[in-house]
Order: sequence, then structure tokens, then C-alpha cells
Amino acid sequence: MSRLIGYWGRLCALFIISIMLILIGFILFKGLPTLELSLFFGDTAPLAAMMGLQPVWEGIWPACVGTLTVVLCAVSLASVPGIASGIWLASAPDKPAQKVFGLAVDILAGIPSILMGLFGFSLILLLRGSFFPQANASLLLASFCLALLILPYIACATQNALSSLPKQLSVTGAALGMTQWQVTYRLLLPQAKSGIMSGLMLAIGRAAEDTAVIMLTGAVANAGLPGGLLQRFEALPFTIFYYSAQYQSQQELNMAFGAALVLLILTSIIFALLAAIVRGRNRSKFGPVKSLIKERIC
Amino acid sequence: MLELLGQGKVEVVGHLKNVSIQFADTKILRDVNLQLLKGQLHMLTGPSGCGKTTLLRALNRLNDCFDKHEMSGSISLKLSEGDVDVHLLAHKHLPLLRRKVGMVFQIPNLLPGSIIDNLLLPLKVVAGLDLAHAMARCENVLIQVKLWDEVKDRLNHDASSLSGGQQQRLCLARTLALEPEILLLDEPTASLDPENTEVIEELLESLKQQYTMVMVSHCPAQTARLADKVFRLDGQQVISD
Repeated sequence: MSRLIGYWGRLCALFIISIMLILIGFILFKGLPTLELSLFFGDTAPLAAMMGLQPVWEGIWPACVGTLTVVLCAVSLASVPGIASGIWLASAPDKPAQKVFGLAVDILAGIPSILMGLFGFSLILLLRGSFFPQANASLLLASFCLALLILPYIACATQNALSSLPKQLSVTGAALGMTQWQVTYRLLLPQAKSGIMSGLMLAIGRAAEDTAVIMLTGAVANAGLPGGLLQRFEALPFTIFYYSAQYQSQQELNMAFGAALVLLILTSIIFALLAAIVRGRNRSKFGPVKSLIKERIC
Repeated sequence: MLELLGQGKVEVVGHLKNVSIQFADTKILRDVNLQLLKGQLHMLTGPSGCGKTTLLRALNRLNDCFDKHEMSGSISLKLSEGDVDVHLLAHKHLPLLRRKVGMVFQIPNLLPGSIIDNLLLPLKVVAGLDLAHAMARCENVLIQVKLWDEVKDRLNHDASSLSGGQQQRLCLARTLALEPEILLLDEPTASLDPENTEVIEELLESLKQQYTMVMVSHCPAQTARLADKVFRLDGQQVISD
């Protein structure tokens, strides 16, 4: 029986890997031939387009910049409250307040992104009708709604990472005279770093790929480079959706595949950078001490 | 003991009155009364589960770290700050209490990181020392616990690369580095071989004059070798001293 379960497990793992390889292979097959400068900048001179001196009408460069900007804004908005919520949830998971808050986080995690988009859209209407008549769909609103969408991922990852640490670690810190905050900041968070980073990566991936939220809160097809937090913007997922749903030529469909490949590469680069940062920070906090000790010993 | 007090030879530095402790609905200790004398090693003995570790943790309020803990009675300690009513201390004052009443656990509880990280982190975070002063104190305590010669060339090595006995001495050094006044030792030799046990026992013997110590031990021979005063716990109470 256990052997059968083992085979079943391996088969499932193989199935997942196969699906992933087929998907990536398909995107590579369709998208690689389109990876040229014209995919990004169209007929515009690349340097002028990158500097924002000339508008790009037939390329995905503004969408690339828009995606990076909206993801950066959303993660900046969500990471601090997300990690703080996770710490609080992990601090006393059995207390009634934490239980209620944990349930709220779970519900938030289960809300479909289109509903979050509708929430953002309704927010504009509310603001327009009350104290901010100029309110409109914008980069800030899209980032805020995306932040709400990814906040539970960060909170849950932080909570799980902290809860999986041995109790003895915090008891040792307390026995040494550390305050609750010092135990959390100096002992627990560094140990939970990789788990929290995994949550952040998941959140970045979720924010980068989401179309429904930004479609209703600020993304448009031809906005050019993001002009500010209160301006509309272009984004890769929306560009992919737009070109694949309304293409009028094979070239436009190919652009959608190219944009999909670029989105994949972009998120992979972000993941790799985050992983490199985690590895870099894993070194001793007291690095400079090494030389000092050697001097003393000599 | 009263005779000794009368002669002015020993000073009472700790007083536990009617201390009862329970976790959730389980009563661990009931009406424990005892006194701690300055510069002496007090040994807590008794069968497993009789509440020795709980009693030890009551002295630095470490039981507060565990859920559903309730304590009644009073614990007074004479520290350099003055007489401290441990049972009445507000939560914000517990870090200072725990610094003054240091604790070494049964299993070496290393902090993640290198040997020197284990010593530097509490010194920098808790004692607020700068690197130069912290390093000087690290060297002193490592010499004090007779570990300096063994680790001086590999201070940046992972602390878990040390042997069990060395790890326990490192934990003792880490506690001593914070300059406590009372030392709580929860079976510090329980996980060690006889050779390392001997080293730790010699160390404790040498520390007796400097610190008031409360130690838990299951070993009658060790109790006979080290203890100045023995408290035997059974049935949730101190039945003899």
C-alpha cells in the first residue's frame, strides 16, 4: 500500500512538472521569435522611448514599466502591514482577537480578484460623490487594490514561518533579558526570513499577473509610461489580455505571446533578485568582527 | 540556617512564600516556601514532573512565556537594584529581572549563528555594549568558563559545531556575560557525558563564591558534591530542606 502511495506521489509530481514544462515551452515557442527591439519599442527609437522623450505606440515598453511600478507600489503598500499582521497572528494564535483576525485574513485571501477590482471601482464612485470629486482610476488606486489582494499571502507566510520556529528560541531570548520586540526582531524574524521571502515572492507573482483588478482600477491600452500616481498606466497582463482578446492581425497576437514571455522573464528576474538578497543577508550580522577577532588573537 | 544568620555569615537574597503555580487546570506547585542564601548553591531535587523546572522558572518569571500560567504567593529577591517583589513586577520590568537572574537550560539552547554571535547578540541587544566592550567581555567570560583556548581560533564557526559540553559552557558564558546576580541552572549536565559533567561541575564549584545559584539535579552524587543546601520537592511541595 505504501509503495502504491509512493508511486502515486511521484506520478502527481511528474504531472505538475510536465504541465509546467509544457506551459513554459509553449510560451517560449510562441514568444521567442517575437523578442526583438520592435516588440518593446515599435517604431520609436529605443533610447528616446526609455527616456520618455517619444511615446511608444506599438510596443510593450510602457506596459513593462507600468507593471514594475504597480507591483513595486502594491508590495510596498502591503509588505509592512502584511508582515506586522503575520507577527501579531503568530504571537498568540489561540487568543480570540487573533482567531477573528485570522479568519478575516483567510476570507480576504479567498476574495476573487474581480471583486477586488469592483471594490476599487466603487471606491472611486464613493470618493467622487463625497470629498474627492477628482477621484479617478489611477496607478495609486490599482496599487492599493492589488495590495489588499496580496496582503493575506504575506500575512499567512509570515505567520506560518514564525509559528514553525521552535518555542525554545523565544524562551531563550526572553531568558537572556530580551524584550518581546527584541526577541521577534533579532531572533525570530531572521530565522523566518526565507519563509517570509517566499510569501513576498508569491505576492509579487500574484500582483504581476493580475488583470481583473487593474482593468477596473487604472490600466488602459495606450497610456504611455506611467505619468504619476494619479495617472492611468499600461501593464503587461492587461496588454496580454487586450491583444489576445481583440487582435486584428497575426502580428498583434504574436505581441501577446511576446508580452507573456516578457512577463515571465520579468517575474523570474524579480524572484532571482529576492533570492540573492536573502542569500546575501544570511551571512553573519557581525561580519566585521572577524577581522577584529583575528587582530586581537594575533 | 537561623544560627548562620545570627552569626552574620550568610545573607538571605531570596524568599518564596506560599508559591503555588498551575498551568491551565494542572496544579504544578502548592504552597512552596523557601529561602535562598547569598553565594550558596541551592539544589532542587525530586522525581520527574514534581515542578523543579517550574519553580526555577518562577524565579525569573519565565513561566510567563507559557500559556495559561497562573501563580499565587510571593517571591522576593534581593538584587543590586534593591528588594524586588518578583511576583508583582510589571511586564516591562521582566527583561531586567531575567538579566539579573540568568538561566542555563538542560539542553544547550544556542542562538542561531556563530560562537561569537551567541555571545555578542545579547551583549549588544540587552546590555547595549559597543563592539569593543562586548568583545572584551566575551573574552573574559570565555576564559572564565575555560572555553577560550578551545574556541579562540574559530569564534566565527557555527556554534553548533561545538561538542555538547562546549555548547553548554558557551551557554553558561553567554549568561555570565550579562553579569547576573543569581544563576538558575536547570540540569545543566543532564545531556552531557561524565567528562564534560566533571568540567561543568568544577566550573560551578568555582563560581559559587560569586553567584547565588539554584540548580536542578536528578543525580544524588552530584547533589552531594555541589549542594550547599538541598530542597527536595515531592507532591507539589518542598518536603525537606
